[in-house]
Amino acid sequence: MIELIEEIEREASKCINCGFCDSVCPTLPASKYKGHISARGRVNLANNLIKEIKRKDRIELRIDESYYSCLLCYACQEVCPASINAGKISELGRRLIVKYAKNQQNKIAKLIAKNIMKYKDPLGLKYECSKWAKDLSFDRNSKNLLFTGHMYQLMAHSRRIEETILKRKNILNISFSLVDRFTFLIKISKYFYNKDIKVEMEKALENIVKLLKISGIDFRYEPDEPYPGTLLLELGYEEEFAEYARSVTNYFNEKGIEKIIVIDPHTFEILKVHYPKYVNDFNFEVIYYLDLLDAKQFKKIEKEVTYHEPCHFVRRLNYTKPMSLLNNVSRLTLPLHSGRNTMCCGGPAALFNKEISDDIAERRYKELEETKASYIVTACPICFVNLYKSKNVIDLSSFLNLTLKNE
Amino acid sequence: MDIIKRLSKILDKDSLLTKKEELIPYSRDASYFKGSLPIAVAIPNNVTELSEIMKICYEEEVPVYVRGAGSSLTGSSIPLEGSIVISMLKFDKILELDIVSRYVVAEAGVRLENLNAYLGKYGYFYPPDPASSIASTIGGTLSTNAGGLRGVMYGATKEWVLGMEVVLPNGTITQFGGKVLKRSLGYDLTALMIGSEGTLAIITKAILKIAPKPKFVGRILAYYDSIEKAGEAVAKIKEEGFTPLMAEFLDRVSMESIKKTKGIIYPENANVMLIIDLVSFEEKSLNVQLEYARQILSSFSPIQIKVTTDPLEMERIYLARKGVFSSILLERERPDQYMITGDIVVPPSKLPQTLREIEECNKNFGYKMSLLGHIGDGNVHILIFTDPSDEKEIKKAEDFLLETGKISLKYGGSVSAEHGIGLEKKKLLLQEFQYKNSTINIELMKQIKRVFDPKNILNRGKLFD
Repeated sequence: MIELIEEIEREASKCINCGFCDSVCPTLPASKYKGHISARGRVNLANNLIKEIKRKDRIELRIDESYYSCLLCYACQEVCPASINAGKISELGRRLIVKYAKNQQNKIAKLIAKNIMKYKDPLGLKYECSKWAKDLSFDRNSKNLLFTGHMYQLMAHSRRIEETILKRKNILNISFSLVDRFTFLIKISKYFYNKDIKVEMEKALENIVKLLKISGIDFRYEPDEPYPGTLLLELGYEEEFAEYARSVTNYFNEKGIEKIIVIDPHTFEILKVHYPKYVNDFNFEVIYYLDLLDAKQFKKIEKEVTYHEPCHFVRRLNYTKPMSLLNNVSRLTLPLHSGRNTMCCGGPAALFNKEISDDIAERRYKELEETKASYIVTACPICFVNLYKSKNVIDLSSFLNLTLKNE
Repeated sequence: MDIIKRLSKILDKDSLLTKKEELIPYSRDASYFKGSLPIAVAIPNNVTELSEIMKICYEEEVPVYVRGAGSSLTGSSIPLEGSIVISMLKFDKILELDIVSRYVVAEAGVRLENLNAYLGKYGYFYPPDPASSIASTIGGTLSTNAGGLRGVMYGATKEWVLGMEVVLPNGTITQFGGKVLKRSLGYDLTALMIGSEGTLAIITKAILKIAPKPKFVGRILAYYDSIEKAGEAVAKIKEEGFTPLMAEFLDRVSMESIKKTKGIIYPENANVMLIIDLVSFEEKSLNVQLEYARQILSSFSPIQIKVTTDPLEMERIYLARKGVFSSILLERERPDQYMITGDIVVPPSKLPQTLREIEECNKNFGYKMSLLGHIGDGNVHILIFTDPSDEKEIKKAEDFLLETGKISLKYGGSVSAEHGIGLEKKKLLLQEFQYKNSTINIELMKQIKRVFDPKNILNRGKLFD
């Protein structure tokens, strides 16, 4: 526990309580302004927690609601005079809970971790997630692997589960008890999906394949691809993540590939930034699909477009390729919160607190709508699903498809 | 009946917090003071709920501490004893805009930057710009008469408030002021509220004046080897009839910190950096003004002088100035050290001597100190580090503030320009009135407090005992 506490203390002790982080934390207004469901509150709790542990050598303070509600969007760090990352503190807090305060562990988080370890997918849908590609052809001999990480495919299912089960406490409790007891029941989630979103997500995947092929890229796709384990790390299951990352790396090694082409910000980050920290021999080149596209394939279209930048791209990866692409192919107008001040879509909160997630999505959608653009472009499947409130919300791959010269 | 039981009858479960983890964030603000855990935190949804809360607390004689962003530097938001904290953040709506009549009506929990983001769409803005404007709320900034960088041109908050709705300590809802510029209705209760730091009544919404956004802005960056030269240069600028949008100075310590964090390089032998903004509604006129001002500043032997109208370059310098606080924070010897910000003000003509005396005074205290601020209106911020857990250190810092306060009074100034009094500057307030042989003022304030709040439940312990 000491190491974790020291890491939290290094971050939290710098706090001067100015409140700047509160002003940009999306969960504060979404929680109806509860101080502990906000960036500064998370840091305050950390400082109190540290004192408690030093005094009593155990955790009594309830930190679960505060830390599990964090979006990990890192907007706080952007404005903090002391450069504190309350999101990082929340991540560390979750690790503390998983290891030393199991009574505070979120049940859904625990179940997801169990599924990932057992079924290589948060909803046990590993093979379901490959069905989108059944009629597509790939270059089986290519050393380049298109790795979806299951993200696009899972969205339709997670949305439906949120709508039908997570929102209703009594159904949630019953479902949860059953699945917790009989883990295989999670596979029933294959029958729970939002049709509309499924169509859009599969369209996006097909468009990504098309865009890559048009740009002359050879690549293969493996239907038995595992989920990369992002949620394990984000939910505080660090040891499990290390073990899981090892197994996924073994998988990549067995496939004999050199380059991994990723297509969503979360998978991009987990492979590029975190895997090398946990796995010694992660020697693959991780490249985002947009970086492989031939810009000459696109033409400028006379459409007003706005772009919801994913937090992970802007603040965590400093990746701005989507912005430059969109600038070249459309009349781009950005919403109020953009660039490094982009506002999270609320998606990461959906699992644990649908109300907060929906509130944030509503606010962000309003900002995007205020640009009066013809299209609202997203570049992350989680963002897409959370902001999908009208037919003009479109994944970047699908939008780029509209700008192809030959279309 | 138990106060929490009574409050839970009027507030939903999301609006009344009682668990320890929910209360912890409300025991602190941006000062180094550590408050007590309140009994509960109430987050009213509207003025009716707020009024009901106050009626209950008034009957039960339970102290109440009101907060917006909780960004006070002087401990104004700190709850001191078994109390109820009221958060005004749900009052976050902008209600009415009348451009022709030049006012906006906004609720107390609206953050200043959000207000200006809204007004900016119409080409207008609300001028007071404290460094905390990203976080601070209308209620809080009215309660402390906040200033900011634009104070030299636009004045402080009190110049920009036409009226407000308030809830009195006994729960009565009433209106002060109105939507018009002129009014002659006896005592100015609106003005009385400004700077009262939540001790008289709770502001729920305010009618604020707005101004058109300057169309063209230009910036002059000038470096001098002494504060005297910089002070004289600025004095001359003002003598010639210029009213800068902004006139800021940074000392060598702050220049060094922004060089490290923002890459703003300064000349080797410079000891003072001046940033002066001029505005005009017409570009040609701005350029003429900038050139004239540059000539004036040049006549005081600057080491270097630069004029720019490049928006990116100006933004970079502006962010560096606004970010000085965070840049200097990185100079902390230990991460848990706190930065104390003295906030004295003197007539601008007396600034150079004031700064020299402060430097002299610091020789007895030995702080690593930074001096910066609003040279245009004579407001100096004195930044020092202290260990808030060490009583001796706190006492030393208090003594330092008292000494520097004396210096400001000697030159005809004031001990608190824009941060308010809160807990931190209670002794300074007394000091100022004693110096001016006006201790009767404290008694007058106490009596006014008794009229508004006979049971002394609102923000008890702040301003004076």
